[in-house]
Amino acid sequence: MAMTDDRGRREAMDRRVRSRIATNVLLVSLLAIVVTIFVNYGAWEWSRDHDVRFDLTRNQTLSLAPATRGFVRSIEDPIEIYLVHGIDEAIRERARKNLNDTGFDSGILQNVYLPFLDQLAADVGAMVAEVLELNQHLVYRSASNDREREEPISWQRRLDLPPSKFLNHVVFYNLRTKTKKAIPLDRFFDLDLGGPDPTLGFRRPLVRGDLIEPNLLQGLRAVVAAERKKTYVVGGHDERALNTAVTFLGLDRFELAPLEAQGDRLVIPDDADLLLVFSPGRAWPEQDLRVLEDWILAGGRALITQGEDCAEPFATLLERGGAAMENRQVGHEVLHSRQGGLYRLYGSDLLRPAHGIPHPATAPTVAEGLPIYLGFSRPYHLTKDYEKDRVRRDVLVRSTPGGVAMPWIFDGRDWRQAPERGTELGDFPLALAFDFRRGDGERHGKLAVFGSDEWLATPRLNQRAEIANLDVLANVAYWLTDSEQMITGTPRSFRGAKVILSDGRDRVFQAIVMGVVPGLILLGGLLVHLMRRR
Amino acid sequence: MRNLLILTRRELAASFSSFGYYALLGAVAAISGFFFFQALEQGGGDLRWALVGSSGFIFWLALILAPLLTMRLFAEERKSGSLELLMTAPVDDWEVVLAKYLGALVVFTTFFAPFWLAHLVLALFFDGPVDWGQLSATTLGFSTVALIQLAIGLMASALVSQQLWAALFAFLGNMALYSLGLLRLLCEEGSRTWNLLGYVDIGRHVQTGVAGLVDLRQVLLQVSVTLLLLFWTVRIVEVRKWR
Repeated sequence: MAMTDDRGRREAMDRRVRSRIATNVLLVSLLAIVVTIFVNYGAWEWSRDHDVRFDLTRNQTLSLAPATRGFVRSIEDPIEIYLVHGIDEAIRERARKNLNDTGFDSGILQNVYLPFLDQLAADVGAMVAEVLELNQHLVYRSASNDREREEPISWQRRLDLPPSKFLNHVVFYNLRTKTKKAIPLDRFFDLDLGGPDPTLGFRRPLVRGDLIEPNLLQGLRAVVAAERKKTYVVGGHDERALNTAVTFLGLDRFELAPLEAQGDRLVIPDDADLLLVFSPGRAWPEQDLRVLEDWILAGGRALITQGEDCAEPFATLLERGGAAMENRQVGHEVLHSRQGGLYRLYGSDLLRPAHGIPHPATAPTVAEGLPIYLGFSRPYHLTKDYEKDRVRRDVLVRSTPGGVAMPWIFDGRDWRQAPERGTELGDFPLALAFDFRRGDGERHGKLAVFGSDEWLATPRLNQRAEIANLDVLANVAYWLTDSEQMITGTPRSFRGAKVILSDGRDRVFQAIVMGVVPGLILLGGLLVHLMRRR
Repeated sequence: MRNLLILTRRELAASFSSFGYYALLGAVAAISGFFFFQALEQGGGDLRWALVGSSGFIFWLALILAPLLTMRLFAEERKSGSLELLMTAPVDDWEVVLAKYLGALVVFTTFFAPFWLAHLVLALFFDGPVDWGQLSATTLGFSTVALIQLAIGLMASALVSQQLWAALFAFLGNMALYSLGLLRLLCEEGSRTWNLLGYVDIGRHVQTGVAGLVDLRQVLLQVSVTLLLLFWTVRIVEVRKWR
């Protein structure tokens, strides 16, 4: 009886100890769960204002520019970004009629169109993911039209867009203001749509450059409510029509309008934030020059190009900054002949800061080392004879020491004959920026002059152009209109890393990775096994 | 710490001296070589895309491999009776659990070797512009996700006596982990919960790594959840010892 009581007491004690241990384990487990949740939630909250992602890719492919990050973080409106990619019947039909062309709807492209589109969409998606990390007001929806049918249809209805503005477009939609912006997917890349591919042995579209970040920015800016800068394109003196440049600025934060001299007199409207003057083909009347000069000195802003056919030197205006346009052109002793008479300038070599401090308008391009395509350019003669305390002068673009200045506007003759005709070698200022200071608190006048207009011509700005040209144009316009916070140096050079596996090399590689390597591993295993048995 | 090293070495020796490990590694090398080559060819020789293209295979490999590597860790020792011997040895329970875990982690990481070898071959013999940064981020991404997968597998192995059940539970646990992201479908897009679920979505963690990024929040999440799972595993081992 006593033994039974004893066992019973022991069992009861065991039960008590066990239940105490179980309670203890339970409490500690709960505490561990709470700590884990607390730590992670705290990290999540903290990361909303701090950078916690590190880009290990070689070209920093997914790193957004600081200005881009700042802009995206500043967005307060809820914005949806849509991308539906795939082949639509209209494209397919056009492709049948257009089998050997290399356009976006060509037969060649259609052969490999879908996997190629998948890649483009995934690249855009990867960059959008980085943008989404910065702002939780943004939502991204993406689908393949050839694999998912229901969602694309419902999205298209929601956005109320025709297929031609929806499929293979990145659509930005501001839920608050209901504003939309659709940018074609192919604009996000510098594409060679029928490029040779030595690996596959047939022509296929190739991505040569990446314009994702600037296009994402452009789309977001277009739907985010912001003040648009009133910009007038001056005409009336045979100015060059640079429609693509104007259209590009119009898609950004600039509201474009033409400005013709009225009754032989230029009248600049009061609401003008920026004037664009593209290479006048005939000299300006004295009174128009005075109007422009007075306007700039009173705080106005202007971008002037002075290309090959420019007949107006704007001498008195430039003289205020100790500069003068020269009547000769700068080319490159090696490159220009290869580039069809155009001067290919490389940012890393040519966009040098004037005083060791990069100018805000070109600093990002310099930092990225991106090439821009200037064409032959007139150099500027600089003197020290100007009021330095009232005018700040910076060189925006400077040629390399290998630049050749020729004493004539390029006439198609062999440039190598030039030394006998007074050619000068050196590094020449090809674009300048002036800041005309006024009294404290008063708006400065700003002026940017370029000795070339070829860099803004349509062939230079379309999707096959040098990718930094648009960037320089936008950044100069931002600087002129006091929107430095918008300046970005975002286009990237080719982001892919290709290996050429042609002429049987692919089979060698295949044999190595699928035969030799596994074989060696098995052999190693066999040796280990035999050694163990011994 | 000395005990931990000795026990880890014991676990590693058990794996690296078995022909089964080499057979599995060889098979994985051949299959991963096939997928990598296919992705390389489809991407027109673009190495970046080859890695992205073959990541689907790595995903499934990790999902299957983790239960395979962990199922035997406790279950087999229990079946053979060597676990009791181990538990009566002068070592702490957490040392036993951690040694088994580290051993499995090292073995798991070696399965990335074929990918590195393929890239090395491309870089050395084919002038391939290999992006070592992206490859490192990919390896790190999968390895950190494997931290949780292996911890789930180890816990399953400590919970049940049969290897097969351990593998099945681990596989289902890992699938459930990946399915967490699907809960987002129930939330309003762009809402706080939606964003929070995106943060814990392991599938997105893998994508981040493959893209060439390292996200410290994701690493923190994976490490902290792993520690929690290992803590529970130690408790399970303790409780089973008391029975």
